[in-house]
Amino acid sequence: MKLRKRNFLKGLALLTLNPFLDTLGAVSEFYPKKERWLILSSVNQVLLPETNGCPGAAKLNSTEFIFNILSYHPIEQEEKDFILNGIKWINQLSKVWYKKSFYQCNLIQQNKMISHIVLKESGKQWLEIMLYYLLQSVICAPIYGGNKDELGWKWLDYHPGFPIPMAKKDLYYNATSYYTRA
Amino acid sequence: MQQVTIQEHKKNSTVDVCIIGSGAGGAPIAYKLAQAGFSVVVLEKGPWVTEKDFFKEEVGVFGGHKYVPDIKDEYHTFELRQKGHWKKYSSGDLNLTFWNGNVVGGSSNFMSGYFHRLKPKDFALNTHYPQIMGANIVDWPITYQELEPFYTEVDQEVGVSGVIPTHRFAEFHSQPFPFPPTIEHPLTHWFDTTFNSINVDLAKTPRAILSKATPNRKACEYSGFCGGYGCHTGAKGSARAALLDKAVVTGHCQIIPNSQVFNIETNDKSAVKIHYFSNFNRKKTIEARIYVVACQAIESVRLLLNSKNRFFPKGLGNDYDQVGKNIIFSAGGSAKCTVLKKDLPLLYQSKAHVTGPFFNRNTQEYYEIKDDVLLIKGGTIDFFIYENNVGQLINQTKVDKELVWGNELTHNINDFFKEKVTITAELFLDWSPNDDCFVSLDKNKRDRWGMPVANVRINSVDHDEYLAQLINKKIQSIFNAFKPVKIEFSHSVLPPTNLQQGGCRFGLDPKTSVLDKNCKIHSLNNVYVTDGSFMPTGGSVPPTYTIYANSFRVAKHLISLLLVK
Ligand SMILES: Cc1cc2nc3c(=O)[nH]c(=O)nc-3n(C[C@H](O)[C@H](O)[C@H](O)COP(=O)(O)OP(=O)(O)OC[C@H]3O[C@@H](n4cnc5c(N)ncnc54)[C@H](O)[C@@H]3O)c2cc1C
Ligand code: SF4
Repeated sequence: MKLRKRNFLKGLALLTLNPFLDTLGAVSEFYPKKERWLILSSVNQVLLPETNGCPGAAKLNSTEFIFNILSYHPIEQEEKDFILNGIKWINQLSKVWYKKSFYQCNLIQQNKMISHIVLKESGKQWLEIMLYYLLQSVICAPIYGGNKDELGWKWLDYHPGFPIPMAKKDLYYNATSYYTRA
Repeated sequence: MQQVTIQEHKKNSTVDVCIIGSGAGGAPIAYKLAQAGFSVVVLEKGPWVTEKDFFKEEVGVFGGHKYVPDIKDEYHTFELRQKGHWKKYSSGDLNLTFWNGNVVGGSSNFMSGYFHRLKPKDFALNTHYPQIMGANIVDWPITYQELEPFYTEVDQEVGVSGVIPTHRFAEFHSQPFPFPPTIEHPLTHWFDTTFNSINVDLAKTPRAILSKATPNRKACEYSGFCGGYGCHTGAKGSARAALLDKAVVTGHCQIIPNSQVFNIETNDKSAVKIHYFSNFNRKKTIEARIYVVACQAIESVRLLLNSKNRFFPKGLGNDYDQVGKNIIFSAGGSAKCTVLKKDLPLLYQSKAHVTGPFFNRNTQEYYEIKDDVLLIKGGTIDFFIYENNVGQLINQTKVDKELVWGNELTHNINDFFKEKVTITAELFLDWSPNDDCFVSLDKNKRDRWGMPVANVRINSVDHDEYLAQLINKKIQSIFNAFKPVKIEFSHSVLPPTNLQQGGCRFGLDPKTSVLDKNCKIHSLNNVYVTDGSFMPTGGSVPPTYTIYANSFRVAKHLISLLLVK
């Protein structure tokens, strides 16, 4: 049975409220890619730090993996929007609480924010999705951007299946291009 | 009979056989008929992917995006009972998809290939076992003896590896499997010894996977991910690799991919034409002498119902409202047993995480079980070491349903991957056919071609739940022998959507069945249905071995019919 957590997202991507703050947030506020990248990298490092032998999100290149998913993977637009909105929402929270961007906060502050949003249904769902992709970045084929230098495989003594995709053309197989023949 | 090529036939515009759907139900017919010199056209809604398209990576496959239509364009609706009412959902609501692989060769490209035969008594459950309340169980119109030669044909043509089981419920095989068992995971020896110590029969699971190469197909390379993934060697006995490739070589079989059949046109006695959408939504038709429907059970029902016309106002074969009734799945659920690596015998500790070789163990010790004084039908338990590693990683993010991250998460991952071994037991029990489990059309919801989608009402009778619990107790006592740190059971009201059967039962009485003994629609001269939908009961095993065997049986019938004509 193919049930996936993302199905409970319905509608969340369209919220005009910032559900992490429960106030009207400037959801439309523009975040340049660099800023989004910095925020997401910091979130990733809190969620998957370099501890217990884990190389951590930074060394694994997890942020690039997630941006690749957002750019190329045939996941629903609703899910993509939700991931991107979550980045804004957590940064707005950071600006309200600490008057600076999430990536400028220290680890204790960042952890406090994550612990706060996990108590909210929308925050929990956003973190679940982030973890879902972060953990894919641990053992994906390196060509997807994550698992840099096979560090994830080395950590877990993981033996990938074969053949693994080696060329860009094999990536992000887009079922819709096959099935949409309009 | 004068043999003509497919090109010559196309000039005459009528082919001998047109098959709709190229999976396990359709391919044996295409192969056997083409081999016998008849002209065959196979219409397949999906693309023609081959070995070179298959990679082992979890990003695309685990997300469930590959090789199936987008559920925004093509979906199903389904109904579940909630608080005494039927609540309707669509695929998008729960991401529950009944598509399992829509490419040439169908979902058989992605199967694990656990191949168990039904047992003789499975052909006559009604005769052999007590009645089950609320269940519509009937005997099959054929016996195991009649199907046995075709199971053997599957062994040869599709390629089954294994040894014939010898336990007390083992069925008769007229010939040994043509291929020795596939290479086994080192922990199977530990498993064998433990089962021996508790006196429970353990058998090797036959697999539709080549352990040795053949002139046309490579042997298995133990690529590490098998079930759920396409096979890059052709060793897996998919309908495409094992049968369709050979059918095409005969020169008598043409496969037309990207062709969505939406209507079977008939007069009052026979089908006369198939209508389909080809690439870029162009409408096309094909005429044939015989039509074979094999779209996987739910979609075959949809096609028959959507093909209603003035001669068959309720849909083809539906004169007695039988089409779509008694859809069944495999029942059961699964259980997991976690063992600490350090508790394994020393010999096996370093081998626990070997990937590639198969676990291939099952027990049919409980194929029949005593419930008080009654002997009731039980089932099969297949064991394997859980392969889906992304899934396992994600499981580590939850502790008592609470989300964890950071240090705690990496600690859990270490603990799970480095200190533990998980064995999964998959339960295969009969899903009792019943009045509240059926497929109909949802007239308000349409696919992207404007055709009504299938609605599946899902219901299981109390007995099935009761039986699953009885067998779970047996699994619990088996797992206890492995000194586990954790045993978990999982059972869902939702069915395994990849194991579909029923909906177009075969039988002798047109009032209670859709198909006759040869899988021809009772009320039409030339329309056959050969996917799993012919099965009145499913047996307590996965169905594909039986679907293949039956399709070979029907192929033999069609050849004799066409030769006479
Ligand atoms: C992950 C996975 C693991 C499995 N493991 C096992 C296992 O271990 N053992 C086992 O016995 N079984 C297993 N199965 C099940 C097995 O694949 C199916 O039972 C079998 O393939 C069913 O055969 P079929 O002909 O009914 O359907 P399919 O093989 O799915 O073929 C149906 C074909 O019809 C096409 N089609 C549908 N509608 C139309 C239309 N309108 N026009 C044209 N074409 C159409 C579809 O695209 C598809 O290609 C597994 C399945 C999956 C997905
Ligand atoms: S394990 Fe063997 S049969 Fe399975 S996909 Fe890999 S090569 Fe094919």
